[in-house]
Amino acid sequence: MIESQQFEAFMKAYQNMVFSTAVRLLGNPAEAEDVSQEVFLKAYERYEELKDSQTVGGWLKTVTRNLCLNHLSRYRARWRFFSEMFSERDDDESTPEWAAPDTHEQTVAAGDHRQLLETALNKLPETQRVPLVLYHFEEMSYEEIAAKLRVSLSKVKTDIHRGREALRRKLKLKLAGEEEWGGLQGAENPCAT
Amino acid sequence: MDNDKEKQLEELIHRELRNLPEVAAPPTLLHRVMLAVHENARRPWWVRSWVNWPLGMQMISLAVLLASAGLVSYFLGAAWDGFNVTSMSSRVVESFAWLKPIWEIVSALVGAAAVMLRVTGQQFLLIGAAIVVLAYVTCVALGTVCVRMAFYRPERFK
Repeated sequence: MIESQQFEAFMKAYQNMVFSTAVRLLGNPAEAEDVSQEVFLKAYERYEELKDSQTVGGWLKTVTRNLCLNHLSRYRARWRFFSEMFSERDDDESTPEWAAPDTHEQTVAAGDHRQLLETALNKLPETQRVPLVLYHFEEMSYEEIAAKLRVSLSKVKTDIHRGREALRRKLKLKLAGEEEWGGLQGAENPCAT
Repeated sequence: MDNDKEKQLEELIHRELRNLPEVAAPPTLLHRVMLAVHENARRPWWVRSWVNWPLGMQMISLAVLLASAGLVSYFLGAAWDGFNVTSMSSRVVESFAWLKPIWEIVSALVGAAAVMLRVTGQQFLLIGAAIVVLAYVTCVALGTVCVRMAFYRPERFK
């Protein structure tokens, strides 16, 4: 029988990692909490073999990623027929909405630029956020992402590029050679107008 | 955007994203998981998945399953050996004899429709087919509108 206290300690050690992965992939804290719960229940079933494993972090990340992608694919399958055209149009024409000005200013006043980036990431459309997260956080290649999401390689590249551009615009990050520098490194308050 | 700019953008965003700290899990997560763990532990073994059954019960259930499969195979073989195709088919035909009048009526109706079509030409057939297709398309369109109105979740796409 597994000692509850041992498993609690295990959970405390890994819950932020699991939740971060889930919330970044799903863009929804409530759904991320559900998936995280499912991950830890699976971990509990295999706790005897996991507790001494060196690769437990990788195992948790993989399970979290797969459960999130399953969750999203179930959602996509339900919506594909009725909403794909609508979502595609949104992807092309719109950029993620920012929070209302007062919330935005409060966040900036708190000096938490990372929070701004996290918010901007969560507000990206799913079609951009998921491949972006898989590429930059999960370190998957474009080909692996295309295979995992069952979309074409060119779509993955385009979506990731659009996601990066959207983040850059929203955080006012500048590339070398552009007229002025801003962003997280270069400005005290990069999002102030 | 050229390759150089694209590379710069990739590196810039990668740096920013990798600098993000982990998102703190909600305090309710630990409680929820431990509650579910305790609830699972309280469930009797026979309502859990088979892999979580006690080893003895797994062995017994496996033996019972194999014995059942053996018995079913044995009795199916025995039944097949005693099976007489001719007598079975005649018995089936007899049991459906009461359908004969209905079959005659249906045959007469189909024959009458065929005669009518020959007389009046294929116009009615085409008009009928067009009406069926139109009705089908209308149903699909109305269904699409209803589903979109019922399940639309705008936060997903903004």
